[in-house]
Amino acid sequence: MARILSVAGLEVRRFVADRGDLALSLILPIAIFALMMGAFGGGSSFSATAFVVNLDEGRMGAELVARLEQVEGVRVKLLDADDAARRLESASVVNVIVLPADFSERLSAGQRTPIVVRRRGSGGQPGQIITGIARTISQEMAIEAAAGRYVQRLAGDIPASRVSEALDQALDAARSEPQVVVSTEVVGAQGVSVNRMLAGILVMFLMFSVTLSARGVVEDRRLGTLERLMTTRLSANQLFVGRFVAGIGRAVVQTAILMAVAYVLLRSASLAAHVWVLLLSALFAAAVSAIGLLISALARTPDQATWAAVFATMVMSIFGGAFFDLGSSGLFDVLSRFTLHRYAIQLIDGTLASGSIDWLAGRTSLLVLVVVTVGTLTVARMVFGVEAAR
Amino acid sequence: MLAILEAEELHKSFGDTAAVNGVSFSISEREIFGLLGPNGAGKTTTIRMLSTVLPPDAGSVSIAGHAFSDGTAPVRQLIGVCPQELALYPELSADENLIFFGRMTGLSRAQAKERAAETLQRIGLADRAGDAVRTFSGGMKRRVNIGIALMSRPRLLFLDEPTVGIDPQSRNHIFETVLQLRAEGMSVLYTTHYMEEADRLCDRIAIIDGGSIIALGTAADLKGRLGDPTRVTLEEVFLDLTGQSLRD
Ligand SMILES: Nc1ncnc2c1ncn2[C@@H]1O[C@H](COP(=O)(O)OP(=O)(O)OP(=O)(O)O)[C@@H](O)[C@H]1O
Ligand SMILES: [Mg+2]
Repeated sequence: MARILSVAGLEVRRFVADRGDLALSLILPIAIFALMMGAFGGGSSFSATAFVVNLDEGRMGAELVARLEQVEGVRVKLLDADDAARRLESASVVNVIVLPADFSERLSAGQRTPIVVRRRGSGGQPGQIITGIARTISQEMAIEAAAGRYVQRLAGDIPASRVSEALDQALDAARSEPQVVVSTEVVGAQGVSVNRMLAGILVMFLMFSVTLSARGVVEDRRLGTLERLMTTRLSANQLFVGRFVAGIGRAVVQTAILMAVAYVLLRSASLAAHVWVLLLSALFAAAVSAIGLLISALARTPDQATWAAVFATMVMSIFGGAFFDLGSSGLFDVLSRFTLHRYAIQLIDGTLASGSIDWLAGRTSLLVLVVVTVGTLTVARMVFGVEAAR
Repeated sequence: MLAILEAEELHKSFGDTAAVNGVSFSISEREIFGLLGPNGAGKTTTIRMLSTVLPPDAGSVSIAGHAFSDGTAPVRQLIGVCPQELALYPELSADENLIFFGRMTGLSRAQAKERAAETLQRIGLADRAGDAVRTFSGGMKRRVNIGIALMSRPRLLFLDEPTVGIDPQSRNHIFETVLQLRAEGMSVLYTTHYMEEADRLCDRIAIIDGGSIIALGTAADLKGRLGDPTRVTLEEVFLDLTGQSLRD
C-alpha cells in the first residue's frame, strides 16, 4: 500500500515539477474560460451599469435613479458632469444619462421633459438598453404625476398632502405586486450557460491527463526507470494501481485549484456543490486514467502513446458536447453517447446549475462512469506488461 | 570463500544474435568482480539476467542461495543495480529520486529519508540534494545513478559501466566509494571498458567477448599469460585475447 502511494505520489510530484504540464492543466483552462465568457457573453441574463449625471434640483431625479436601481441586472453609478465628460473622453464609459436641473419641475408640471444621453458612438448595446429603461421609468413617473394632478382636481378641498399620500400608497402597492409578469419560453438551441462552459472546460482539461497517464509506463521504459523498478520489490500490480491512483491524484490537484478559482470568482453554486464537483471529477479522472493505462499498455513508444491519447481526447471533446448543445436526437446525440464527456458534463453542469447535490438525477451518468472505469481497468491490467524484455 | 552469486551456463539470444552464449562464473562475498569486454560483448545482457530483469533462455542463477527458478522476490531484496544508462527522473531532485527508489525497495519513509541523506553524503552531493537532477552535470547524474543502487544497502551491487563519460575526479570518487563499500561487506559486479580501472579495482576479472567468457582470473593471472605480470598491461592482454577488429 505504501509503495502504491509512493508511485502515485511520485507521479503527482513529477506533474507539479513540470511547469509545462502544470501550465497546460491550470492556466490554459482559466484563460479559455475567460475567452469564452467574453465571446459568448457567459451569463444568460442582462447585466449592466447605468452611468447617471443627476443635475435635477427636485426629488424626481433621485426617484428615477432609485427605480433604475430596482431593475434586475442594473447597477447605477452616479457621476458628476466633469467626471462623466472625462470618462466619455477616455472611452472608459460610453453611455451617460444626464438629468437636467429642471427635470422634476418639468415632469411634475406635465411639460415636455428632455433627458440628455451623452454617448460615444452607439453607446453600446447595454447603454441603449439602459437608456430605454430610463425613458420608460421617466414616462411612468410622468404619468403618475399627471394622475396626481387629475386626482387633485377631482378631490376639491381635500388637502393636497392627503391626496398625494393616498395616491403614493396605491401606486406603491401596484409596483410591489407587479401586474404584468414575463414568463420565458426558450425555443430551439439553448445558449451555453456559464456552468455548462465551466463543466466543459474542466472535463476537457481533465481529459488531457489521459496523455500523462498514457505516457507513464512508456516514459518509464524510455527513461530506464521501469527496468530499475523491476529490480526492486515493486510488483506489476502495485505499479499499475499506483499509476491509476496517480491519474486521480493529478485530477484532484487540478480540479481543486480550478474549482477554488471558480468558487471565488463566480460563486455560481454552494461550496458543497463545488466539493461534489471535485468528487465527480475524481470519478471522471478514474475513467480517464484507466483509458490512459490501457493506451500505455498497448503503446510501444512515448510518441505512439501521446498520439493515441490526443486522438482519444479530441474525439471525445468534439463529440462530447463540451461547448455546444447536442440536441436531444440526431447523429451528434448518438455519437456523444460514446464519449465520457457527455456523462461527466451532465453531472458537473447539473450540480453547478442546481447548486446542490442530486444523486438521483445523475445516477445513470454515475453508473456509466463507474462501469467504464472498472471495465477499462480490467482490460488494461490484462494487457499491462511490465516486461522490458523484448 | 562463500559465493554470493553463482551463474551457470547462461544463454540469451535476441532473434539471431546470441548476446550471451554459455556464461558461467561465481562471485564471492566481499569480492569486486570485473566483467571486461568490448562493445556488444554481452556484459549488459548478463547483468540484466543476473538482476532478475531479463529471464535467461537457458541456464541458472542463484544469489545468496536463492535460485531464481524459485522466484525472484527474495533476490530483489539483496541486490542493487546501477544500469549503464541513467535511470532517473530528471524533473525530480536527487533527494526525491533516492527516497522514491528507496521506498520501492521496501524502506519506510523515515528510513528512506535517513538513508538518502547518508547516500548523498557518500556520493558527494549533499549540497545539491534539493536540485532537480535535470540541472546536474553528467558526472553528478552518474553519481545519483549509483546512489540509487545503494539505497537498499544491497549485499550484491551491479555496476554497469558506472564511470562512462566522467572526469578523473568523479571517477576517483566512485573508485573510493566502491572500495569503501567492499570494506563494509558488499560484493560488486563491475563492468567497464577501462582496463586500468579493472586492474586497480577488481579482485578477479572475467574477459567476455561474443557472449562467452574467454578468460577469468586475477589481474596478475591474466597478465601472467602474456609474460611478466609487472610489465604487461591488462590492455595488452585484452587486445591479445579479443583481437583488434572493431566491434558492433
Ligand atoms: N534488447 C535487445 N534487442 C536486440 N538485441 C540486443 C538487445 N540487447 C542487446 N542486444 C544485442 O546483444 C549483444 C550484446 O549486447 P550488450 O548490451 O549485452 O553488450 P555490452 O557488452 O553491454 O556492450 P557495451 O559495452 O556497448 O555496453 C549486442 O549484439 C546487442 O546488439
Ligand atoms: Mg553494456
